Amino acid sequence: MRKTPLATSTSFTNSITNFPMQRINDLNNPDLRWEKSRQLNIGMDFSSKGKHISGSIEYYEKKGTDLYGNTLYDYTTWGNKGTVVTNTSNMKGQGIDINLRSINISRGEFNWQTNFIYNYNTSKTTRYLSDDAKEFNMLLDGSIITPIVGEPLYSITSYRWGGLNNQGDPQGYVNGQLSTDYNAIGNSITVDGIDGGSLVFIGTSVPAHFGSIINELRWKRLSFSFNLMYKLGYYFRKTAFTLSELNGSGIGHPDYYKRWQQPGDEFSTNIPAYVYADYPQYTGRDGFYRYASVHALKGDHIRFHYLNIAFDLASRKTKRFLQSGQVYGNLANLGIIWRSNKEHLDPDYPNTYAPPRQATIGFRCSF
Amino acid sequence: MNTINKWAYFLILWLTGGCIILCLSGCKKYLDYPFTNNVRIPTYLSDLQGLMDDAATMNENRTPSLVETSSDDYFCLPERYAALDDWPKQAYIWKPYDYRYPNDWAICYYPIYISNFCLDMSKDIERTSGNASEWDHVNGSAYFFRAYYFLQLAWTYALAYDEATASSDKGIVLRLTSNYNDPSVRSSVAETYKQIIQDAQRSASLLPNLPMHSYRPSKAAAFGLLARAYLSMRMYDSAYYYADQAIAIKSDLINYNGDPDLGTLTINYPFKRFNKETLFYSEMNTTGTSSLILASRARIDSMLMNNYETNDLRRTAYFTKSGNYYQFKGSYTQTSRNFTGISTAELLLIRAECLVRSTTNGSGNLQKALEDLNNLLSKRYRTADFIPVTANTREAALDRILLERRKELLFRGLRWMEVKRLNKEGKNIVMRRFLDGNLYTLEANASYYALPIPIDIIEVTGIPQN
Repeated sequence: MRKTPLATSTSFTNSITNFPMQRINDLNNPDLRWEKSRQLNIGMDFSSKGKHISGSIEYYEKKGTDLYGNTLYDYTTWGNKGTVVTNTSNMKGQGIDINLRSINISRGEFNWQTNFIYNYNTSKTTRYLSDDAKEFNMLLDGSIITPIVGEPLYSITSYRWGGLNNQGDPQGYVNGQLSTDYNAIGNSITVDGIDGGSLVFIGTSVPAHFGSIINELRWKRLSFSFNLMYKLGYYFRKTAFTLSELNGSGIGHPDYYKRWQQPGDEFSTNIPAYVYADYPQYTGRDGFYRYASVHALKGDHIRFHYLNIAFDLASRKTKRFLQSGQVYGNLANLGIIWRSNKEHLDPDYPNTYAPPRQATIGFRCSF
Repeated sequence: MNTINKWAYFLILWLTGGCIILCLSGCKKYLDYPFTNNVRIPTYLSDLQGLMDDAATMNENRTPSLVETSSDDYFCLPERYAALDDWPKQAYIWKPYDYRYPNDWAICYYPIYISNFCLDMSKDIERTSGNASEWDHVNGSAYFFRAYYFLQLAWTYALAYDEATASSDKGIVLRLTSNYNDPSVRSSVAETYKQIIQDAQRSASLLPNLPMHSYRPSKAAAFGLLARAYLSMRMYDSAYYYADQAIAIKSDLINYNGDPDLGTLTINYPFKRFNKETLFYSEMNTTGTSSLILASRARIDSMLMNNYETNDLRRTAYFTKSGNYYQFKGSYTQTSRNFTGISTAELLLIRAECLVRSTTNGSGNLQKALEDLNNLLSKRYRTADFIPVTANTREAALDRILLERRKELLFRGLRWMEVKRLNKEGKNIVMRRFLDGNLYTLEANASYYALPIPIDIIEVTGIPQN
């Protein structure tokens, strides 16, 4: 989001008249201020006698004010958009970073050490500009600041899921009752926000615990290391099988095969029946289903990040012409070795392909 | 010692350097914005002109659709009605409803913002002999667009002008600045029309007679706008004056018997876009309830259809049969979107009506009015068997002119205001809808003629609801 108090515009040419034209991108807002943040860090380095265990531990506290967010406003003044960017929120966060290096075995020419990196972080919204926030469309996917005070700064919210009915239609809740009136569900969120009961708060979209474990082994001139990265304590939204994508754009989805097909299936599946979505009684069905809580999954996972093997060529004998040299091989993006979601999805890439595995072989040296 | 000195030296250098950089960047009160590629801060007259030449913002998909969906030129088939969302269902039968962004209100206030922005920015630009015509054009256009959309909003959200009650009847929000911190308040109907007239007159004095393209305002368009405004106020002499001035500048009509701006009558959208009758081009927006009036969905009231005789070429040009009913296909946008701009035909009809209503010049005006009417009708009826209209009394002439207005200006967003102002003269037009065995009516002079304002505007600004 580009933020400036002055109006900015982009140039085009009108294709019909060929007159040059300008279009204002955002409302000029003279009150817009910089986001401010301040942070307190307290850290400590330590190591044991003989350096078997060493590392650092750091605690930090961060306070941010005047963070940017979308707010409702009197659109009589502009009208091009339903919300404007203003300095809406304050946040408070704290965390711990621990970096631990442990020399597990060091005997002769064999050496094995492990580097544990652990980060813990929580942040939450401490202030949001207006009460209108509760009337704001509250389907959050972690891309904007949570407008609810006291909740994680970036969160996921979803429609409360009521299962499928006996015709294979997804159900939500209106006033505490199961309902397939998708317009009413949508309206309830617009009017009552999270208090209406049609919306549930899933959790933070940013990992609470994350870090890596790097193991390095060395024997004589051969070294071997591998890195496991982990992210724990967060949620993500997976893609859904929607009729508008299938019928409208020809985009399929594997969930299609698990859909409801006959009465009784509603006890074994959460994927709705295939219908023609442009029939009037199905308006809003796709929109409801896509953002229903069945699609908000835990994102916890452990990923095999890379694997490295290297062989040192240089030695005392070669020092005259080869200062240092190394043959190495590297395997990266080896995939996830444990994940919390049962659908075999990669939480970092829910909608696209994960980066492919990469193998590199190389030779580096200096003379 | 040496090394420590060296490090100290570098440290001090870094710190001072850092401080200098910090001081230079300073604690700026506002954020600065770098120019990248073709993004700029609009400051020059050419920028402002560019803002108003953005037809997608200023002309297209813009004017209110609620006025049309609430009017009786069409009806909605029962099976279509059942499939509607809640609030369009209420709107169709003239019941109050809650609705939010996006809507007619937001869509119309956006070009008003652009107009105000241009006026505000051009205050800082000195008008010199070098930039005079550009300066005039920018200001004239801004005043025109502002007046145009204020009038559209007044037609939608305010009651008809009535001299007795205009100072207390609630008008629209008159935004006269682009500063978004200025609070929105509702003016009175009297103030609303006063502002519209003032802005339109200012624009007329600044603009050239004719535009380079009908997207752009012009003197003729401004006169047309004034004619429309005064007609809404039932100040027929003033409406006559301005309609006359506009026609003096441009009076071309499309001959439905055959014309370069016209394809075969029977095809969909036979009229060329930006045709010779288009004095100023604007389109109705397609949000909110507009699904009710989509050409493929709306059906034309049969009683209205009966008014198009067999030799009235508009019967073929404007309509196509669909099942038992007719649907509309004659938009001057050459698309399914409704044309709501100012046309020469409309002005001719305004002039004719005002001539009939005028009490000066005895029967001379009646003759002139019929001349105008027949001038138009000769281009709308088959030449072979067209019989010019005659009328002995003002009432007969007026009835015919009003009927022709209805037939000619279908789906142009004009009907709602028309009924409102005619009812102020005791015409007692009652709109009716028949649905599910129930009859719904909108009484003449109902307060509903000032349509509901979006609920989120009421919530944020606290202005009174209609």
